[in-house]
Amino acid sequence: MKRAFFCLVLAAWFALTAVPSAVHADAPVKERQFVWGVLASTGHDYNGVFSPGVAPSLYLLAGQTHILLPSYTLVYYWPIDHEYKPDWASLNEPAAGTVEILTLDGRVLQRLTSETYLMQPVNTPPGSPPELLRGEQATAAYHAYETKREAYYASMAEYDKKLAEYMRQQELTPNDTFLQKPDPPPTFAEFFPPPSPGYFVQLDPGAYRLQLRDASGQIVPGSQRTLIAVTPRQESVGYAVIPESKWTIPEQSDESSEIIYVTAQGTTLYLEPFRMREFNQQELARLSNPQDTTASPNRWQWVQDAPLNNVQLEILSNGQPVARVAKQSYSVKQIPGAALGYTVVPFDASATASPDLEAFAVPAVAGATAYAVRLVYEDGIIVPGSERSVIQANDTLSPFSYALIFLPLGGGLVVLGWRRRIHARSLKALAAMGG
Amino acid sequence: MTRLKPSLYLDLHSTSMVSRQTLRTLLFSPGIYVTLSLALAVTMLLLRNTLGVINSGYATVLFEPFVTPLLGMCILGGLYVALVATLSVTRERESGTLETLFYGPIRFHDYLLGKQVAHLVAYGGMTITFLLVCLVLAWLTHLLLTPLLLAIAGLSLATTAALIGLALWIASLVRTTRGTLLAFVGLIVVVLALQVGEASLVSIVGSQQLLQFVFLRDSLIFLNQIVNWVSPVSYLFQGTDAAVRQSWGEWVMYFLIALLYGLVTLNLAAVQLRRKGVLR
Repeated sequence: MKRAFFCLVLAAWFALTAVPSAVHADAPVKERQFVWGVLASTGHDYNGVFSPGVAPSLYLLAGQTHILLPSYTLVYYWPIDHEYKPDWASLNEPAAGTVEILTLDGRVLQRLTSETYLMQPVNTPPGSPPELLRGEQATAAYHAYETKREAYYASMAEYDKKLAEYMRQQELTPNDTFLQKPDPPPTFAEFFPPPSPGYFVQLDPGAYRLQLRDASGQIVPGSQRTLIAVTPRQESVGYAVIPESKWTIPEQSDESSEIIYVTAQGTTLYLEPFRMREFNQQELARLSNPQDTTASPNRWQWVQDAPLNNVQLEILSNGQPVARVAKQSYSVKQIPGAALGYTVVPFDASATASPDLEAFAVPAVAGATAYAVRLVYEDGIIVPGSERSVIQANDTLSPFSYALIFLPLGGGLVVLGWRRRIHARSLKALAAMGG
Repeated sequence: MTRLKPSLYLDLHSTSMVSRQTLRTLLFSPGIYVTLSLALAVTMLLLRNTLGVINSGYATVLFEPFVTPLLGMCILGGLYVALVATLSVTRERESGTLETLFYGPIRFHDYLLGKQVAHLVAYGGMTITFLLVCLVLAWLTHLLLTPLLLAIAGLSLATTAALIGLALWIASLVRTTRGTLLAFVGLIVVVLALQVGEASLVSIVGSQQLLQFVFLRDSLIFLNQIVNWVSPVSYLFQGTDAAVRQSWGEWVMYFLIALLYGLVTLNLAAVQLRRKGVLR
């Protein structure tokens, strides 16, 4: 009886303690905190970056214009990502004041005041990054957008009216063939957020201090950070190397010290050039997430940047240009039937909606075991870092190659044998002298 | 026994005598030939693998295929000559040769410089032979051989001078052959363990997001930064990286640092040898 009672009490205790703890785990504690939000430029696009108080350093790309967005929000720890997250939906209160950029020894370099900005979407070509407009430009663009939107709403209202009239008339005179259905106004799919306040900053490479000073001249608590303006260690031209028969698995060549080896069968290579930048791995990770701890501070990483346009590919044989190739659009067709394989054909806009790849086609150069490619601008100037050697290597090592391993051993045996002979001769001479 | 103070003055005749004698001993021992053959065997394995990779696809992007084998040879050859250098000094001390030698008009600097030059010349010979074999292999396989190899080989002369200097310093610090061998091999094992450990943790933390290893990884990175300052092999890697990036100013800096390293350790060895004496 006593044992049953003890078990019951134990079960009740487990039930009472286990359930609330599980409930607690689902509701993280949120704390009102000053944070830095950043619209950080990557050079051709913008990323949203969040810097809570636990991340003492903020990383920005040097030489680019970024927008600092100091604000208050609710911050909570999210154990799954091991990171602090903002709850913008509950609180998003901009923090006013003057942003100060200082040297590490405390000398003020820049005092930034708030300015309005707008990220204007760019639709052509599709996928283009938005254009950053600031100040008057932003206001004017938004005003133009609002005017267009109002005109659209007005034409939609007009259309609705005409449509209702059309339907009424159709009901009254169903057999009237002269009745015309009104045309809807052209679709208006644009969406601009209204201009917002932000602080524009552009920095040379180096380390700085960042803080926000409020209207009373006091430094806003929690606003101080170390600001690191990051620059790539080197820049180059990279290529996606796509052999015709293996287009789904392209090879990547990041830097000019790499060589493109092709097999003896020969294949057309499709080369897609990109600008490449090499960053410190930790700095690169912290450009998008200042809380990152996984990236290593002593490793380097190439990052593919925007594609290179307005260039031509020059093919060189024995150091002399032999041909120039222009970039073209191609479609990839799977070979019909059960056999695997692809063919790459020039893009035909009437047959397919969009090309599969835009690249320079380099046919296998007949009889050449080595040639080189490089990019040139329209005025003939060579694009630095774009040179690549294309080599047709032999299939196997000949047995003679393996014999080279024993060359030093053979040389050693000769030397040691020669020494032994000299030694023996010396001993004989000594013996003769002794005799 | 001469008790001359260390000075910048060098008796080139004595240095040359020690150097020639040491070089003769080196050339008449099989180790140098075995090491070179071993380096070539590793090279052949790597090249065979490279050709396999090239032939497995229609187009393959590869970093210069002879750089890794050359670096392997530089490390293997460098460590071999450094080990032989350290053992030659301790053995000569143990056998009493040093004691006899220093009754004559020879300075510690001259003796140690002679040792360093002899081992460096032997290493230079290994490197030239290796490069010539690479030239033949490049001709046979059509793999590209570029001037980058010369930059690495040139730098390796300075880093090997530093490695030999370090080895001579160890020899001057430790009295017995066994102790020297243990110290030298122990040093290599520690450096290797640190570098392998760091590389593994960087990979684990980076790819699998295992945050519990971040502190350990950062500690090993810190220790490796110290190793990078004291290990001549790390100067070889850093200089090679600079050469690949065509940052020639940096390459010259690493070359000069390695040379200076060799001179400083040689002087430290001379001072230590003078303090401890050359008696058995």
